[in-house]
Amino acid sequence: MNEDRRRLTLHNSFHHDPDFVHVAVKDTSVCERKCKEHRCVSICPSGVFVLAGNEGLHAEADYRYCVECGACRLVCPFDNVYLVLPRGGFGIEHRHG
Amino acid sequence: MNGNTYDCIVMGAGPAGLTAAHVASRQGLSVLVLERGAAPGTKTLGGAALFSLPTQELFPAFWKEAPVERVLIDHQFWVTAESSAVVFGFRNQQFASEPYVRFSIRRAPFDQWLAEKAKQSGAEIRCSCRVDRLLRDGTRIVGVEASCPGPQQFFANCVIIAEGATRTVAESSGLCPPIKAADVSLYVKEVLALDAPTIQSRFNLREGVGASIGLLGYVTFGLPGTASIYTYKDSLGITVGANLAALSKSGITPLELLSRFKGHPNVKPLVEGGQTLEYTARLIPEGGYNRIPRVVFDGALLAGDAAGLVNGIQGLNLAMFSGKFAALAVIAAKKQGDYSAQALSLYKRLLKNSFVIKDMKANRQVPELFKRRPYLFDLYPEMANKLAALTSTVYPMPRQEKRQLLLKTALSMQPLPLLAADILDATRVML
Repeated sequence: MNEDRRRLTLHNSFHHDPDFVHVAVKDTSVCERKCKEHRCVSICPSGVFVLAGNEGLHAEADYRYCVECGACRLVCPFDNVYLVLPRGGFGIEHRHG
Repeated sequence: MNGNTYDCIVMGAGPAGLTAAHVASRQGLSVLVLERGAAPGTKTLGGAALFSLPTQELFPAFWKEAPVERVLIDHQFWVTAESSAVVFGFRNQQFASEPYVRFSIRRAPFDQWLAEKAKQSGAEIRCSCRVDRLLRDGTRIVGVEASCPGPQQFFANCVIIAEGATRTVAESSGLCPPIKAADVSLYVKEVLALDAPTIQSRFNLREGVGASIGLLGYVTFGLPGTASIYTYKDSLGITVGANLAALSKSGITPLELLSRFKGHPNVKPLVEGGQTLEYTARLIPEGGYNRIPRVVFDGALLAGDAAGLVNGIQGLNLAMFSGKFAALAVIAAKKQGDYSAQALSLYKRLLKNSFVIKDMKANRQVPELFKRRPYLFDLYPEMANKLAALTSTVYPMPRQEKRQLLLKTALSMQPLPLLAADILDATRVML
Protein backbone atom coordinates (compact mmCIF):
# COMPACT_ATOMS: atom_id res chain seq x y z
CA MET A 1 0.00 0.00 0.00
CA ASN A 2 2.83 2.35 0.87
CA GLU A 3 4.37 1.63 -2.53
CA ASP A 4 1.23 2.80 -4.36
CA ARG A 5 1.18 6.03 -2.41
CA ARG A 6 4.85 6.57 -3.08
CA ARG A 7 4.43 5.95 -6.79
CA LEU A 8 1.80 8.68 -6.99
CA THR A 9 3.86 11.03 -4.86
CA LEU A 10 6.75 10.72 -7.30
CA HIS A 11 4.71 12.73 -9.83
CA ASN A 12 5.30 15.76 -7.62
CA SER A 13 8.15 18.18 -7.71
CA PHE A 14 10.29 18.14 -4.54
CA HIS A 15 13.30 20.12 -3.47
CA HIS A 16 14.91 17.68 -1.07
CA ASP A 17 16.75 18.97 1.96
CA PRO A 18 19.61 16.57 2.71
CA ASP A 19 20.52 18.31 5.95
CA PHE A 20 17.28 18.61 7.85
CA VAL A 21 14.82 15.85 8.73
CA HIS A 22 11.52 17.59 9.38
CA VAL A 23 9.34 14.58 10.18
CA ALA A 24 10.29 11.67 12.42
CA VAL A 25 9.03 9.25 15.02
CA LYS A 26 10.10 10.65 18.38
CA ASP A 27 10.58 7.36 20.21
CA THR A 28 10.16 4.08 18.33
CA SER A 29 9.81 2.10 21.54
CA VAL A 30 6.59 3.99 22.32
CA CYS A 31 5.11 2.67 19.05
CA GLU A 32 6.18 -0.85 19.93
CA ARG A 33 4.98 -0.79 23.51
CA LYS A 34 1.78 1.20 23.29
CA CYS A 35 0.50 1.55 19.75
CA LYS A 36 -1.62 -1.04 18.02
CA GLU A 37 -3.24 0.95 15.23
CA HIS A 38 -0.33 2.91 13.76
CA ARG A 39 -2.64 5.62 12.49
CA CYS A 40 0.31 7.58 11.14
CA VAL A 41 0.99 4.74 8.69
CA SER A 42 -2.55 4.59 7.33
CA ILE A 43 -3.23 8.34 7.29
CA CYS A 44 -0.07 9.56 5.54
CA PRO A 45 -1.02 10.43 1.93
CA SER A 46 2.51 9.81 0.68
CA GLY A 47 3.45 6.75 2.73
CA VAL A 48 6.22 8.41 4.70
CA PHE A 49 5.75 6.22 7.77
CA VAL A 50 7.13 2.73 7.39
CA LEU A 51 6.71 -0.21 9.72
CA ALA A 52 9.76 -2.33 9.03
CA GLY A 53 10.75 -5.41 11.04
CA ASN A 54 13.93 -4.77 12.95
CA GLU A 55 13.86 -1.01 12.39
CA GLY A 56 10.43 -0.56 13.98
CA LEU A 57 8.23 2.32 12.92
CA HIS A 58 10.15 5.11 11.26
CA ALA A 59 9.79 8.05 8.92
CA GLU A 60 13.31 9.36 8.78
CA ALA A 61 14.25 7.60 5.56
CA ASP A 62 11.25 8.89 3.65
CA TYR A 63 10.73 12.38 5.02
CA ARG A 64 11.73 13.70 1.59
CA TYR A 65 8.38 12.63 0.12
CA CYS A 66 6.29 14.34 2.78
CA VAL A 67 3.55 16.49 1.18
CA GLU A 68 3.37 18.66 4.33
CA CYS A 69 -0.30 18.13 5.15
CA GLY A 70 0.32 17.80 8.90
CA ALA A 71 -2.13 14.94 9.51
CA CYS A 72 0.36 12.54 11.18
CA ARG A 73 1.01 14.81 14.15
CA LEU A 74 -2.71 15.18 14.84
CA VAL A 75 -3.64 11.50 14.65
CA CYS A 76 -0.90 10.06 16.86
CA PRO A 77 -2.58 9.29 20.21
CA PHE A 78 0.82 9.34 21.97
CA ASP A 79 2.08 12.68 20.64
CA ASN A 80 4.99 10.69 19.27
CA VAL A 81 5.35 12.33 15.84
CA TYR A 82 7.92 15.07 15.47
CA LEU A 83 6.79 17.35 12.67
CA VAL A 84 7.92 20.81 11.72
CA LEU A 85 7.82 22.49 8.34
CA PRO A 86 10.76 21.96 5.98
CA ARG A 87 13.29 24.77 5.93
CA GLY A 88 12.51 27.71 3.65
CA GLY A 89 12.76 26.80 -0.03
CA PHE A 90 12.68 23.04 0.60
CA GLY A 91 10.02 20.35 0.45
CA ILE A 92 7.15 19.88 -1.95
CA GLU A 93 6.71 22.42 -4.75
CA HIS A 94 3.19 22.45 -6.14
CA ARG A 95 3.03 23.26 -9.84
CA HIS A 96 -0.76 23.02 -9.98
CA GLY A 97 -2.01 23.32 -6.41
CA MET B 1 12.07 51.82 6.02
CA ASN B 2 14.78 51.74 8.63
CA GLY B 3 16.89 48.64 8.31
CA ASN B 4 14.54 45.72 8.83
CA THR B 5 11.55 47.59 10.26
CA TYR B 6 8.27 47.54 8.37
CA ASP B 7 4.77 48.85 8.98
CA CYS B 8 3.53 45.32 8.52
CA ILE B 9 4.96 41.84 8.15
CA VAL B 10 2.74 39.21 6.54
CA MET B 11 3.44 35.57 7.28
CA GLY B 12 2.51 33.44 4.30
CA ALA B 13 1.99 34.28 0.61
CA GLY B 14 -1.45 32.72 0.33
CA PRO B 15 -4.77 34.40 -0.49
CA ALA B 16 -5.19 35.99 2.95
CA GLY B 17 -1.62 37.24 3.25
CA LEU B 18 -1.30 38.48 -0.31
CA THR B 19 -4.64 40.31 -0.27
CA ALA B 20 -3.57 41.96 3.00
CA ALA B 21 -0.21 42.90 1.47
CA HIS B 22 -1.88 44.27 -1.67
CA VAL B 23 -4.40 46.40 0.23
CA ALA B 24 -1.92 47.70 2.82
CA SER B 25 0.89 48.54 0.42
CA ARG B 26 -1.51 50.28 -1.95
CA GLN B 27 -2.18 52.70 0.92
CA GLY B 28 1.53 53.40 1.19
CA LEU B 29 2.39 51.09 4.06
CA SER B 30 5.72 49.28 3.95
CA VAL B 31 4.91 45.59 3.80
CA LEU B 32 7.11 42.51 3.87
CA VAL B 33 5.64 39.13 2.96
CA LEU B 34 7.58 36.09 4.15
CA GLU B 35 6.85 32.84 2.33
CA ARG B 36 8.46 29.50 3.16
CA GLY B 37 8.03 28.11 -0.37
CA ALA B 38 10.57 28.80 -3.09
CA ALA B 39 7.85 30.83 -4.86
CA PRO B 40 4.31 31.93 -3.96
CA GLY B 41 1.82 29.15 -4.67
CA THR B 42 4.23 26.24 -4.21
CA LYS B 43 2.68 25.20 -0.89
CA THR B 44 -0.96 25.96 -1.57
CA LEU B 45 -3.72 23.59 -2.54
CA GLY B 46 -7.39 23.91 -3.35
CA GLY B 47 -10.26 22.55 -5.51
CA ALA B 48 -10.68 25.22 -6.53
CA ALA B 49 -13.52 27.57 -7.41
CA LEU B 50 -13.06 31.31 -7.39
CA PHE B 51 -16.31 33.20 -6.84
CA SER B 52 -16.65 36.10 -9.20
CA LEU B 53 -18.71 38.70 -7.33
CA PRO B 54 -16.77 38.66 -4.03
CA THR B 55 -13.43 38.58 -5.85
CA GLN B 56 -14.42 41.55 -8.03
CA GLU B 57 -14.84 43.66 -4.92
CA LEU B 58 -11.19 43.07 -4.18
CA PHE B 59 -9.82 42.90 -7.73
CA PRO B 60 -12.14 44.56 -10.28
CA ALA B 61 -12.35 42.71 -13.62
CA PHE B 62 -9.77 40.23 -12.32
CA TRP B 63 -10.69 37.66 -15.01
CA LYS B 64 -9.02 39.77 -17.66
CA GLU B 65 -5.63 39.18 -16.09
CA ALA B 66 -5.84 36.41 -13.49
CA PRO B 67 -4.96 32.86 -14.58
CA VAL B 68 -8.47 31.41 -14.50
CA GLU B 69 -8.95 27.98 -16.08
CA ARG B 70 -12.59 27.79 -17.16
CA VAL B 71 -15.73 29.84 -16.60
CA LEU B 72 -17.96 27.49 -14.64
CA ILE B 73 -21.50 27.37 -15.99
CA ASP B 74 -22.51 24.04 -14.53
CA HIS B 75 -22.48 22.99 -10.93
CA GLN B 76 -23.66 19.55 -9.92
CA PHE B 77 -24.09 17.78 -6.66
CA TRP B 78 -24.02 13.98 -6.61
CA VAL B 79 -25.31 11.90 -3.72
CA THR B 80 -23.64 8.59 -4.38
CA ALA B 81 -24.25 4.92 -3.67
CA GLU B 82 -22.21 2.00 -5.00
CA SER B 83 -23.44 2.02 -8.58
CA SER B 84 -25.63 5.12 -8.77
CA ALA B 85 -25.96 8.77 -7.88
CA VAL B 86 -28.89 11.07 -7.22
CA VAL B 87 -27.91 14.21 -9.10
CA PHE B 88 -28.86 17.83 -8.45
CA GLY B 89 -27.51 20.43 -10.79
CA PHE B 90 -27.82 23.74 -12.49
CA ARG B 91 -26.43 24.76 -15.86
CA ASN B 92 -26.86 28.34 -16.96
CA GLN B 93 -25.38 29.60 -20.22
CA GLN B 94 -25.67 33.17 -18.94
CA PHE B 95 -23.03 32.32 -16.35
CA ALA B 96 -20.61 32.29 -19.30
CA SER B 97 -20.84 36.08 -19.67
CA GLU B 98 -19.75 38.98 -17.47
CA PRO B 99 -19.81 39.40 -14.54
CA TYR B 100 -19.69 35.58 -14.31
CA VAL B 101 -20.37 33.50 -11.19
CA ARG B 102 -17.47 31.17 -10.63
CA PHE B 103 -14.24 30.15 -12.27
CA SER B 104 -12.10 27.07 -11.87
CA ILE B 105 -8.55 27.91 -10.90
CA ARG B 106 -5.38 26.06 -10.06
CA ARG B 107 -4.07 27.54 -6.88
CA ALA B 108 -0.35 27.55 -7.72
CA PRO B 109 -0.64 29.92 -10.70
CA PHE B 110 -3.45 31.88 -9.06
CA ASP B 111 -1.45 32.60 -5.90
CA GLN B 112 1.49 33.63 -8.08
CA TRP B 113 -0.76 36.15 -9.77
CA LEU B 114 -1.94 37.47 -6.39
CA ALA B 115 1.73 37.86 -5.43
CA GLU B 116 2.30 39.91 -8.58
CA LYS B 117 -0.60 42.18 -7.63
CA ALA B 118 0.87 42.68 -4.16
CA LYS B 119 4.30 43.39 -5.64
CA GLN B 120 2.87 45.94 -8.08
CA SER B 121 1.29 47.72 -5.13
CA GLY B 122 4.69 47.97 -3.51
CA ALA B 123 4.89 44.97 -1.18
CA GLU B 124 8.21 43.21 -0.78
CA ILE B 125 7.96 39.42 -1.03
CA ARG B 126 10.74 37.20 0.27
CA CYS B 127 10.44 33.54 -0.54
CA SER B 128 12.32 30.55 0.92
CA CYS B 129 11.88 32.22 4.34
CA ARG B 130 10.27 30.06 6.99
CA VAL B 131 9.08 32.04 10.00
CA ASP B 132 10.16 30.14 13.12
CA ARG B 133 8.88 32.30 15.93
CA LEU B 134 7.36 35.61 16.88
CA LEU B 135 9.48 38.27 18.54
CA ARG B 136 7.98 39.99 21.55
CA ASP B 137 8.55 43.07 23.62
CA GLY B 138 6.57 42.30 26.75
CA THR B 139 3.16 41.21 25.51
CA ARG B 140 3.51 43.07 22.24
CA ILE B 141 4.50 41.19 19.09
CA VAL B 142 7.19 43.25 17.39
CA GLY B 143 8.49 41.02 14.63
CA VAL B 144 9.50 37.54 13.56
CA GLU B 145 12.55 35.36 13.38
CA ALA B 146 12.86 33.41 10.16
CA SER B 147 15.21 30.93 8.50
CA CYS B 148 16.15 32.38 5.12
CA PRO B 149 17.88 29.86 5.37
CA GLY B 150 20.15 31.42 8.00
CA PRO B 151 18.33 32.94 11.00
CA GLN B 152 17.20 36.49 10.39
CA GLN B 153 15.04 38.89 12.36
CA PHE B 154 12.48 41.26 10.89
CA PHE B 155 10.63 43.93 12.83
CA ALA B 156 7.25 45.52 12.21
CA ASN B 157 4.50 47.46 13.92
CA CYS B 158 2.10 44.66 13.14
CA VAL B 159 2.39 41.03 12.06
CA ILE B 160 -0.43 39.50 10.03
CA ILE B 161 -0.27 35.75 10.66
CA ALA B 162 -1.64 34.03 7.57
CA GLU B 163 0.36 30.82 7.78
CA GLY B 164 -2.42 28.44 6.78
CA ALA B 165 -4.37 25.65 8.44
CA THR B 166 -1.45 23.99 10.24
CA ARG B 167 -0.66 27.34 11.97
CA THR B 168 2.47 26.00 13.64
CA VAL B 169 3.87 29.40 14.64
CA ALA B 170 0.63 30.76 16.09
CA GLU B 171 0.22 27.51 18.02
CA SER B 172 3.79 27.26 19.34
CA SER B 173 3.61 30.93 20.36
CA GLY B 174 0.54 30.18 22.45
CA LEU B 175 -1.72 32.49 20.42
CA CYS B 176 -4.21 29.73 19.71
CA PRO B 177 -4.98 26.28 21.07
CA PRO B 178 -3.63 23.13 19.36
CA ILE B 179 -5.75 21.93 16.45
CA LYS B 180 -7.60 18.67 17.06
CA ALA B 181 -8.07 15.92 14.49
CA ALA B 182 -11.84 16.14 15.01
CA ASP B 183 -11.83 19.79 13.88
CA VAL B 184 -10.05 19.35 10.55
CA SER B 185 -10.50 17.36 7.38
CA LEU B 186 -7.75 15.75 5.36
CA TYR B 187 -8.15 16.23 1.62
CA VAL B 188 -6.05 14.61 -1.08
CA LYS B 189 -5.96 15.95 -4.59
CA GLU B 190 -4.85 14.54 -7.89
CA VAL B 191 -4.46 16.63 -11.01
CA LEU B 192 -5.04 14.61 -14.16
CA ALA B 193 -3.89 15.71 -17.60
CA LEU B 194 -6.67 15.39 -20.15
CA ASP B 195 -6.82 17.29 -23.44
CA ALA B 196 -9.38 20.09 -23.77
CA PRO B 197 -11.55 18.46 -26.49
CA THR B 198 -11.87 15.30 -24.37
CA ILE B 199 -12.87 17.32 -21.31
CA GLN B 200 -15.40 19.25 -23.36
CA SER B 201 -17.00 16.16 -24.83
CA ARG B 202 -17.08 14.27 -21.51
CA PHE B 203 -18.68 17.15 -19.66
CA ASN B 204 -20.73 18.43 -22.60
CA LEU B 205 -19.06 21.84 -22.70
CA ARG B 206 -18.02 24.45 -25.21
CA GLU B 207 -14.45 25.72 -25.29
CA GLY B 208 -13.57 27.90 -22.31
CA VAL B 209 -16.51 26.97 -20.12
CA GLY B 210 -16.42 24.36 -17.42
CA ALA B 211 -18.29 22.27 -14.92
CA SER B 212 -17.75 21.24 -11.34
CA ILE B 213 -19.20 18.36 -9.38
CA GLY B 214 -19.40 17.95 -5.62
CA LEU B 215 -20.04 14.45 -4.31
CA LEU B 216 -20.72 12.68 -1.05
CA GLY B 217 -21.80 9.27 0.23
CA TYR B 218 -20.29 6.08 -1.15
CA VAL B 219 -17.29 7.91 -2.64
CA THR B 220 -16.04 8.78 0.87
CA PHE B 221 -16.95 5.36 2.32
CA GLY B 222 -19.86 7.16 3.97
CA LEU B 223 -17.44 9.10 6.15
CA PRO B 224 -18.20 12.77 6.94
CA GLY B 225 -16.49 14.28 3.94
CA THR B 226 -16.84 15.22 0.29
CA ALA B 227 -15.28 14.74 -3.09
CA SER B 228 -15.13 17.06 -6.07
CA ILE B 229 -14.22 17.26 -9.74
CA TYR B 230 -13.16 20.54 -11.32
CA THR B 231 -12.58 20.99 -15.02
CA TYR B 232 -9.50 23.01 -15.90
CA LYS B 233 -8.31 23.98 -19.40
CA ASP B 234 -6.51 20.75 -20.14
CA SER B 235 -6.64 18.87 -16.86
CA LEU B 236 -9.03 17.81 -14.13
CA GLY B 237 -8.75 18.44 -10.41
CA ILE B 238 -9.94 15.43 -8.41
CA THR B 239 -10.28 16.03 -4.68
CA VAL B 240 -11.55 13.82 -1.89
CA GLY B 241 -11.35 14.04 1.87
CA ALA B 242 -12.97 13.38 5.19
CA ASN B 243 -12.86 14.40 8.79
CA LEU B 244 -9.38 13.53 10.01
CA ALA B 245 -10.44 11.85 13.25
CA ALA B 246 -13.06 9.72 11.46
CA LEU B 247 -10.70 8.83 8.63
CA SER B 248 -7.81 7.81 10.84
CA LYS B 249 -10.13 5.80 13.09
CA SER B 250 -11.45 3.92 10.06
CA GLY B 251 -7.94 2.89 9.00
CA ILE B 252 -8.83 3.81 5.41
CA THR B 253 -5.87 5.39 3.64
CA PRO B 254 -6.16 8.61 1.61
CA LEU B 255 -5.25 6.62 -1.48
CA GLU B 256 -8.08 4.16 -0.84
CA LEU B 257 -10.42 7.15 -0.67
CA LEU B 258 -9.10 8.43 -3.96
CA SER B 259 -9.35 5.01 -5.63
CA ARG B 260 -12.91 4.50 -4.39
CA PHE B 261 -13.88 7.92 -5.77
CA LYS B 262 -12.18 7.54 -9.15
CA GLY B 263 -13.47 3.99 -9.49
CA HIS B 264 -17.13 4.88 -8.98
CA PRO B 265 -18.92 3.77 -12.16
CA ASN B 266 -20.38 7.26 -12.72
CA VAL B 267 -17.04 8.98 -12.11
CA LYS B 268 -14.72 6.62 -13.96
CA PRO B 269 -15.84 7.55 -17.49
CA LEU B 270 -15.13 11.21 -16.70
CA VAL B 271 -11.61 10.75 -15.37
CA GLU B 272 -10.21 7.63 -17.02
CA GLY B 273 -7.10 7.94 -19.12
CA GLY B 274 -6.04 11.10 -17.30
CA GLN B 275 -2.33 11.11 -16.56
CA THR B 276 -1.29 12.08 -13.05
CA LEU B 277 0.42 15.46 -12.94
CA GLU B 278 0.38 15.98 -9.19
CA TYR B 279 -0.79 14.15 -6.07
CA THR B 280 -0.81 15.99 -2.80
CA ALA B 281 -2.79 16.76 0.33
CA ARG B 282 -3.74 19.36 2.90
CA LEU B 283 -5.81 19.92 6.01
CA ILE B 284 -8.94 22.07 5.98
CA PRO B 285 -10.13 23.63 9.24
CA GLU B 286 -13.73 22.54 9.74
CA GLY B 287 -14.41 23.42 13.33
CA GLY B 288 -16.54 26.32 12.14
CA TYR B 289 -17.53 29.41 14.12
CA ASN B 290 -17.10 27.79 17.53
CA ARG B 291 -13.44 27.02 16.82
CA ILE B 292 -12.39 30.44 15.56
CA PRO B 293 -9.57 31.38 17.92
CA ARG B 294 -8.79 34.86 19.20
CA VAL B 295 -7.72 36.83 16.12
CA VAL B 296 -6.46 40.17 17.51
CA PHE B 297 -3.35 40.61 19.66
CA ASP B 298 -1.04 43.45 20.61
CA GLY B 299 0.83 43.89 17.33
CA ALA B 300 -0.62 40.89 15.51
CA LEU B 301 -3.67 39.63 13.63
CA LEU B 302 -4.64 36.11 12.61
CA ALA B 303 -6.18 35.68 9.12
CA GLY B 304 -7.37 33.07 6.63
CA ASP B 305 -7.15 29.34 7.37
CA ALA B 306 -4.90 30.04 10.37
CA ALA B 307 -7.95 31.70 11.93
CA GLY B 308 -10.15 28.75 10.92
CA LEU B 309 -12.12 30.88 8.48
CA VAL B 310 -13.65 28.13 6.37
CA ASN B 311 -17.38 27.77 5.87
CA GLY B 312 -18.53 24.65 4.05
CA ILE B 313 -17.10 24.95 0.56
CA GLN B 314 -15.94 28.52 1.07
CA GLY B 315 -12.40 29.17 2.21
CA LEU B 316 -10.57 31.04 -0.52
CA ASN B 317 -12.79 34.11 -0.59
CA LEU B 318 -13.10 34.17 3.19
CA ALA B 319 -9.30 34.18 3.34
CA MET B 320 -9.07 37.06 0.86
CA PHE B 321 -11.67 39.13 2.70
CA SER B 322 -10.06 38.48 6.07
CA GLY B 323 -6.76 39.64 4.54
CA LYS B 324 -8.42 42.81 3.33
CA PHE B 325 -9.98 43.51 6.73
CA ALA B 326 -6.67 42.85 8.48
CA ALA B 327 -4.99 45.35 6.16
CA LEU B 328 -7.70 47.97 6.80
CA ALA B 329 -7.17 47.58 10.55
CA VAL B 330 -3.40 48.00 10.16
CA ILE B 331 -3.91 51.07 7.97
CA ALA B 332 -6.18 52.62 10.61
CA ALA B 333 -3.72 51.67 13.36
CA LYS B 334 -0.94 53.43 11.52
CA LYS B 335 -3.01 56.62 11.28
CA GLN B 336 -3.53 56.54 15.05
CA GLY B 337 0.01 55.41 15.74
CA ASP B 338 -1.43 52.69 17.95
CA TYR B 339 -1.04 48.99 17.20
CA SER B 340 -2.45 47.64 20.45
CA ALA B 341 -5.05 44.87 20.40
CA GLN B 342 -7.66 47.49 21.17
CA ALA B 343 -6.69 49.67 18.21
CA LEU B 344 -6.48 46.62 15.92
CA SER B 345 -9.88 45.34 17.04
CA LEU B 346 -11.33 47.12 13.99
CA TYR B 347 -10.34 43.87 12.24
CA LYS B 348 -12.70 41.87 14.43
CA ARG B 349 -15.53 44.35 13.87
CA LEU B 350 -15.06 44.28 10.09
CA LEU B 351 -15.08 40.48 10.12
CA LYS B 352 -18.17 40.36 12.33
CA ASN B 353 -20.15 42.73 10.13
CA SER B 354 -19.30 40.85 6.93
CA PHE B 355 -20.60 37.67 5.33
CA VAL B 356 -17.44 35.95 6.56
CA ILE B 357 -18.52 35.72 10.19
CA LYS B 358 -22.27 36.14 9.73
CA ASP B 359 -22.47 32.99 7.60
CA MET B 360 -20.09 31.05 9.82
CA LYS B 361 -22.14 32.03 12.84
CA ALA B 362 -25.35 30.94 11.13
CA ASN B 363 -23.76 27.54 10.43
CA ARG B 364 -22.11 27.25 13.81
CA GLN B 365 -23.95 24.09 14.83
CA VAL B 366 -23.24 22.18 11.65
CA PRO B 367 -19.86 20.69 12.72
CA GLU B 368 -21.46 19.38 15.93
CA LEU B 369 -24.38 17.92 13.97
CA PHE B 370 -21.95 15.92 11.85
CA LYS B 371 -20.09 14.74 14.95
CA ARG B 372 -23.36 13.83 16.66
CA ARG B 373 -24.78 12.02 13.64
CA PRO B 374 -21.81 10.88 11.52
CA TYR B 375 -24.02 8.26 9.84
CA LEU B 376 -25.84 11.06 7.96
CA PHE B 377 -23.15 10.75 5.27
CA ASP B 378 -23.70 7.02 4.98
CA LEU B 379 -27.34 6.24 5.64
CA TYR B 380 -29.07 9.03 3.72
CA PRO B 381 -27.11 8.83 0.45
CA GLU B 382 -27.87 5.10 0.56
CA MET B 383 -31.55 5.75 1.24
CA ALA B 384 -31.82 8.46 -1.42
CA ASN B 385 -30.38 6.14 -4.03
CA LYS B 386 -32.60 3.22 -3.05
CA LEU B 387 -35.71 5.38 -3.21
CA ALA B 388 -34.61 6.90 -6.51
CA ALA B 389 -34.08 3.43 -7.97
CA LEU B 390 -37.56 2.38 -6.86
CA THR B 391 -39.09 5.58 -8.20
CA SER B 392 -37.31 5.25 -11.54
CA THR B 393 -38.33 1.66 -12.00
CA VAL B 394 -41.78 1.17 -13.48
CA TYR B 395 -43.51 -1.78 -11.84
CA PRO B 396 -46.80 -3.33 -12.89
CA MET B 397 -48.25 -1.95 -9.67
CA PRO B 398 -50.72 0.81 -8.81
CA ARG B 399 -49.19 4.12 -7.69
CA GLN B 400 -50.78 3.91 -4.28
CA GLU B 401 -49.01 0.63 -3.66
CA LYS B 402 -45.70 2.00 -4.93
CA ARG B 403 -45.91 4.96 -2.56
CA GLN B 404 -46.35 2.51 0.29
CA LEU B 405 -43.36 0.52 -0.96
CA LEU B 406 -41.24 3.69 -0.95
CA LEU B 407 -42.30 4.54 2.57
CA LYS B 408 -41.72 0.98 3.79
CA THR B 409 -38.25 0.95 2.23
CA ALA B 410 -37.28 4.24 3.89
CA LEU B 411 -38.53 3.11 7.28
CA SER B 412 -36.75 -0.22 6.98
CA MET B 413 -33.50 1.74 6.75
CA GLN B 414 -34.23 4.15 9.58
CA PRO B 415 -37.25 3.64 11.88
CA LEU B 416 -39.69 6.54 12.03
CA PRO B 417 -38.70 7.96 15.46
CA LEU B 418 -35.02 8.08 14.47
CA LEU B 419 -35.82 9.42 11.01
CA ALA B 420 -37.93 12.16 12.56
CA ALA B 421 -35.17 12.95 15.08
CA ASP B 422 -32.60 13.26 12.26
CA ILE B 423 -34.85 15.56 10.24
CA LEU B 424 -35.68 17.69 13.26
CA ASP B 425 -32.05 18.00 14.30
CA ALA B 426 -30.85 18.83 10.81
CA THR B 427 -33.65 21.35 10.26
CA ARG B 428 -32.99 23.03 13.60
CA VAL B 429 -29.28 23.34 12.81
CA MET B 430 -29.64 24.53 9.23
CA LEU B 431 -32.36 27.13 9.74
